[in-house]
Amino acid sequence: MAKLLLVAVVFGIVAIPIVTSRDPSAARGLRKALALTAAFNAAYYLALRFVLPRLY
Amino acid sequence: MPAGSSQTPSRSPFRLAAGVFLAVQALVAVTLLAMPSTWHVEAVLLAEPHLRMPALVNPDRGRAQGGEAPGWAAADLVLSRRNLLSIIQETDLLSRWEKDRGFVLRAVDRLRSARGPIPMLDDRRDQLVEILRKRLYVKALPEGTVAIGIDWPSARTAFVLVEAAQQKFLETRRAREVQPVDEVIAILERRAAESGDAVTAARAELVREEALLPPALRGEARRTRPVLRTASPTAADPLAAALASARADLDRLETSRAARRKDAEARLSTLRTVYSDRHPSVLAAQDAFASWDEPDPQEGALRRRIRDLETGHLAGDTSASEDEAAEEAMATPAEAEDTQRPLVAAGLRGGVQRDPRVPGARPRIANGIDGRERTDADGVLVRSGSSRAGPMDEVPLPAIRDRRADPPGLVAARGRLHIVALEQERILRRIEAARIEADVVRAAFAYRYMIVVPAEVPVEPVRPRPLVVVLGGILCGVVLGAFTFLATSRAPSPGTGPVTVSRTRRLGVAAITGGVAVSTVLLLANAANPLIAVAPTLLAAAAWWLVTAPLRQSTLVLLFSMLVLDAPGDSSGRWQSPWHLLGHLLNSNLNLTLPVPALRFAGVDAIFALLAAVAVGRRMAGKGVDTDGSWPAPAPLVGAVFVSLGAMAVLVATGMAQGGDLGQVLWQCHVPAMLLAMVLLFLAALRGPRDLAPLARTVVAAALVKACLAVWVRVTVALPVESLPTATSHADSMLFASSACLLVVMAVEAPGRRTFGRLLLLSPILIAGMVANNRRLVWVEIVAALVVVYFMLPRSRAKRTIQRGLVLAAPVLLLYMVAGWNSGSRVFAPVAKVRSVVDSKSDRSTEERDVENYNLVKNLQDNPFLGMGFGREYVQYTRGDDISHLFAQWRFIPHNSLLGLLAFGGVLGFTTLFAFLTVGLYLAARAYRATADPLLRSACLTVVSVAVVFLIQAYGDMAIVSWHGVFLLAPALAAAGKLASATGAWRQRARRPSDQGSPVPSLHPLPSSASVPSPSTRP
Repeated sequence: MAKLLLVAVVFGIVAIPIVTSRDPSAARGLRKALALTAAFNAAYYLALRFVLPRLY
Repeated sequence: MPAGSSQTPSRSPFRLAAGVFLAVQALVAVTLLAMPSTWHVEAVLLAEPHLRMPALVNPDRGRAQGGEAPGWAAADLVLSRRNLLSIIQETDLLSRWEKDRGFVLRAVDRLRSARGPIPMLDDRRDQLVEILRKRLYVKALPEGTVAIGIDWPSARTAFVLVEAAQQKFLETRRAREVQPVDEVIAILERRAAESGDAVTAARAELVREEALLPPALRGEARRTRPVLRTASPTAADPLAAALASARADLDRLETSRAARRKDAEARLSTLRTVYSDRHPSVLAAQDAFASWDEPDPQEGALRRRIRDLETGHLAGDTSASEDEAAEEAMATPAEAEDTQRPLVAAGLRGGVQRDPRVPGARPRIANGIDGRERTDADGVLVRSGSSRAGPMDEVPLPAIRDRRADPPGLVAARGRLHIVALEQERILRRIEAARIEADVVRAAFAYRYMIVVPAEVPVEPVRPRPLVVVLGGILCGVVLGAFTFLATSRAPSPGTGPVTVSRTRRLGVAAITGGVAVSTVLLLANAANPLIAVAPTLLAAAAWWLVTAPLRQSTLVLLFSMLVLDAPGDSSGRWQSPWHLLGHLLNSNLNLTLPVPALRFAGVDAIFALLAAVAVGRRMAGKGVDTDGSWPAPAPLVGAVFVSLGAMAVLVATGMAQGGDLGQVLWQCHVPAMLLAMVLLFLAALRGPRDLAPLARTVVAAALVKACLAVWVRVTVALPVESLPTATSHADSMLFASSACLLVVMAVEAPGRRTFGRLLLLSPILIAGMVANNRRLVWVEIVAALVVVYFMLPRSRAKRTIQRGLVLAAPVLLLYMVAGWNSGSRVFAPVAKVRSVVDSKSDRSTEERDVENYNLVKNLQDNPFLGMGFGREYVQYTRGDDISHLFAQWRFIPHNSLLGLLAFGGVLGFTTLFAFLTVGLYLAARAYRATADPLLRSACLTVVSVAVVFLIQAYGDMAIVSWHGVFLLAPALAAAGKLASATGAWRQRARRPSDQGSPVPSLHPLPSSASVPSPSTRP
């Protein structure tokens, strides 16, 4: 599980732009992609901070 | 046409080419005539330490430690100013130098002397010293030879100089080896003279003291031997002194050996706490320790010598005491007893003694020197030291005369005489030993240096070699003539009239041709291979082509070169391709290959700078070579690239502000910055979808070449996997995986005989390359990329079938995984691969990666927002293996590039650093949904696959600093931008009249028959 959590950063970088590309508005979709990526990275840090130690 | 240039009819390109050819030949002829010849002479001496002769002459001496090697500082000794001046004088080099210089140089000298003051003799001598320092070389080679050689404009003088230098070397070595011994002898002789004076003085004092005695006792006193001669080793008995000296030497030797043995034992113990018992250091220490238990020849020799001396001492004492026996016979027993008592009571070592507790006991020799005597039951005094117990302990001797009646002054004078006499004898012995040593060194010197290759007068100059220059000149003339012909002629276009070439272009061609011709001929004059003539011409032609060709061609050639040519360290350093030199020039700093220290940048940097300058220059000049028919680059992608570059600059500043190392910053940021810059270059180079097919073909061709190379290396280099872990390089995993995904995606999106045929034909070659390259990460990359592609595919019957198949196969797959998790069978090899990726305990490498990941996460927790910045190494909270001997930057560039960038950049830095990738993926995914053209959809999916492959490689193996990552991801993201513009996934605001109009802004699929769009065919 710890490995899955660590490697989630790859899937976050790839999946978010692909999912947000479905937005009918190109500009809005791009803004969403950037914002969600930033949010994902913040959540990823929190997961590393608080969840990962429990998984080791 | 550029301003300032004029069009002139190009009537005779062939004539121009012929003129260039003839000019080159004329240049060659002039060079051959005018250039002075250079002759090479070399002599080789075999220099070896000759220990046998000294060891045979003096087997008791220890082995010399830390002495000079025969070739030690050979160059410094021979090339010292004093030696060079001596060589110049002995060879009459001042007058020879004038004659040896070629007529051109002599003419230059005359001109100089005519214009300025004539140089003084000392100045000319100084100049010759500097010239000799540059041209004369003395090399001490590891195999024990010393090579002395020179390049000189005269064969005879070169020979004479090498002979003289060789003689100087031998004289210098002889002086260094013999003179110290002579100096020691001189010192000892001075000390011996001083000691002789002391003996004379002591003897005179003794005579004066004797003169004070009553006349009846004077003769007796003169006859009387020194009181303590046999009672002390310091007496003037040479045998006793030698015996005492030998025993002292033996004591010292034993003590020294014991201490060194203890040191060896301590070192072995220390090493055993660090390494295993089979470690080479431990084995070496064991051998060293065991060697101390072996008998020491020096110690054995000393023991033999002591035995011999003990025997001789016994005999000497016996005979020496004969005259004293007469005296003792005249003395009464009581007197004799009184004579001996003080000696025993005083504990004097050795000498003739009698135990006073046993009446009538006969005096005996106690030969010990340490006073450890005891009296046995018969009243015989015996030493307690077992090692020195010998037969002499039991030898009875007559008692000696009582000398206590002598005046104290006489006794003191005798003592002083004995001491100085002993000292003189010791010095004389050392002088004798030193003289023997000097003779041995002189005799051994003849065998220490042997002339293996004598200096000889050369029969052929080393340069220029007429044949090489002529052949190279012809080759250079032909190539340059062809270049001139191609550069000055243009194919006539229909209806454009006569062929014209601008004056600027003609001047440029003339300058390039002239420069290349001169440099080539000069190069040929100093080279031994006529093919060298091609190098400058090829270089000039390559530069010319890079400047004139469209960027879409030059960038693809650069891409192919970077993907195919091997970098330093590829194939684990066990194999190099025939074109490895080009790869080294491109991949590593040029000064590592070329002898120009200032070239502290890689060839790819130089080419990028040239291409960027070309792109900017063409834009500024309004040339449409690259922009005609080009789709504009989406502004968000360009903006994201600049944002990422800005984030990198901020992180560099953050790191430097906290004490970061600028040198490490270059290691960390050079390749990532080039990745971003290359995205911009490819955006300028690629026009749109029509350039994607050549791009795909280039990448697949490069992958096929590298796959074949990997198989070739694995087959031909017969080394186990431990010695050759990768057949080509780690980064080739990205190339193989990207190409494999491209073939699969093409077959999925554009199913047909051609795409399936390509897949079936080419994928086995790629798979063979992947197997040969032996990287497990490549399989993870392919699976991950195809999984992402699978989820991007629209719902279809095939997709539903695959899903059902996977659901049905899941239990079987699970069972297979469980059964093979701990199995070593080849049947379960795929399971072993999976386990090596996910199970930390599967191998050491995976375990170390886990330690590194843990440390990076802890570093991120220390600086979660902006990270630690670039230029600083991450902190090791848990200590892993130190791999600095393999990769010095291992704590600046971790294997996990993603967690590394998180640690260095924090959440904010990481997000902005990867903004370009987020935007590129977004554009690719959006373009995929915006078009129905199978080729364009394949291109979009390939972009996504390449991004996934790059990220997996970055997560596992430092893709962020890999040139393969740059030349796969940068064109992929540029293609994503062009696809987004071409498909209308991203509507670009028009900037120029030629870009006006917009593609279909619909997300609905286009008809499958839609052709590849171009700006000129846009609706």
